[in-house]
Amino acid sequence: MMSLCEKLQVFADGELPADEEPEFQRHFAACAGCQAELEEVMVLEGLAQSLRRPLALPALERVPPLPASRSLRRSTLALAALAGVSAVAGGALLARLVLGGRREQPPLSRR
Amino acid sequence: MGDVISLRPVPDSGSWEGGGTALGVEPAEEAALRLVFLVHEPALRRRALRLTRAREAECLVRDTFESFLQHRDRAGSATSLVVWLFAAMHQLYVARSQGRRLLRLVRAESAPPENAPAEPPAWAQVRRAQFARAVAALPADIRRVFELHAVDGLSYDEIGACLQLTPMAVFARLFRARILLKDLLRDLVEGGISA
Repeated sequence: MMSLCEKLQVFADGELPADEEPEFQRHFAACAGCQAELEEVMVLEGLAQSLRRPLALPALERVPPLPASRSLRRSTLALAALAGVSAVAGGALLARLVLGGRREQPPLSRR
Repeated sequence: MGDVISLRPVPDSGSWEGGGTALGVEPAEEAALRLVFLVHEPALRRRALRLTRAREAECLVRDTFESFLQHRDRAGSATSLVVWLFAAMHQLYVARSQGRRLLRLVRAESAPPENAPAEPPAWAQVRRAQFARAVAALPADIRRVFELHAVDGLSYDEIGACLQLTPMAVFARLFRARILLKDLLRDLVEGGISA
C-alpha cells in the first residue's frame, strides 16, 4: 500500500481516485516534501512545453492593390453619386410616408 | 499608468476576454503579453485541471497570469518563461492549500499573503536544446511515456491504450523519467555543459 507521500505524483497527474483526494490534500498542505516534489513535476512539465511542435500557419497570400485606372475612378465616382441620390430620395420618401400618414389618420370618433 | 487588465475566462470556451491595459503596460507591450497568454494558456489549464476542479482551475490559471503581469521582468527568455509560469502556478497552488489548512485549523479570516514567486530550481534553468538533449538521452520506452504525458497531455489510460501498458506501468515509467531527467539536467547545469 502506498504511503501518502508516494501518491504525490499520481495526484499531480490528476490520477488519484476522487475518494482519496481529500485525505491527500490535507497531507499535502502540511508536507514540505510533497510540495517540493510537486514543483519538480510541474517545472518538468513546463520544460516539456518547449518540445511541442510549433503551429504550422498557412502562408498568407499577398493581395495586390487594385490599379488606380481612370475608368475605375469614373466608375467609383458614378457609384458614389448614385448612392448620394438614392439617400436623398429615400429620405424624402420616408418623410412623405411619416408626415402623410399623420395627416391621413382618421378622427378618433365619428359620433 | 493604464487600467489593470481584467482577465476573465469565457465559460466553456477555453478563451479569455479582457479590457484595458495592464498596470504599467504600454500599448505596444500588450500585444506581446496577450500572445504569451495565447501560447501558454492551454498547457497551464491542463496542468491546473490535473490539480483541482474546473472552477478552481480557471482561477488558478488566471491568477498565474496576473502574477506574471506583476512580475514579468523576472520571467526571462521564452523557455524560462514557461517554466516560470508553471513554477508560479505551483506556488499559488501551495499557498492556497496552506490557506485552506489554516482556515481549518485556526479559522483565520484571510489566507497567507502571496508573495512574488521564487525562482525555479537551478536545474530547470536550461535552454530548450539542453532539455531536448536530456529527453533524447532517456531510454526509448520511458521517453515515449514522458512525451505523451507531459507534451501531449494524455492520461495514464490513454497512454496505456497507445503503448499497450497498464496504468501502473505508465506511472512507473513516468516516475522513472522524471528522476532521470532531473539527474541529467543537474549534470548539464552543474557540469556547465552547453547545448
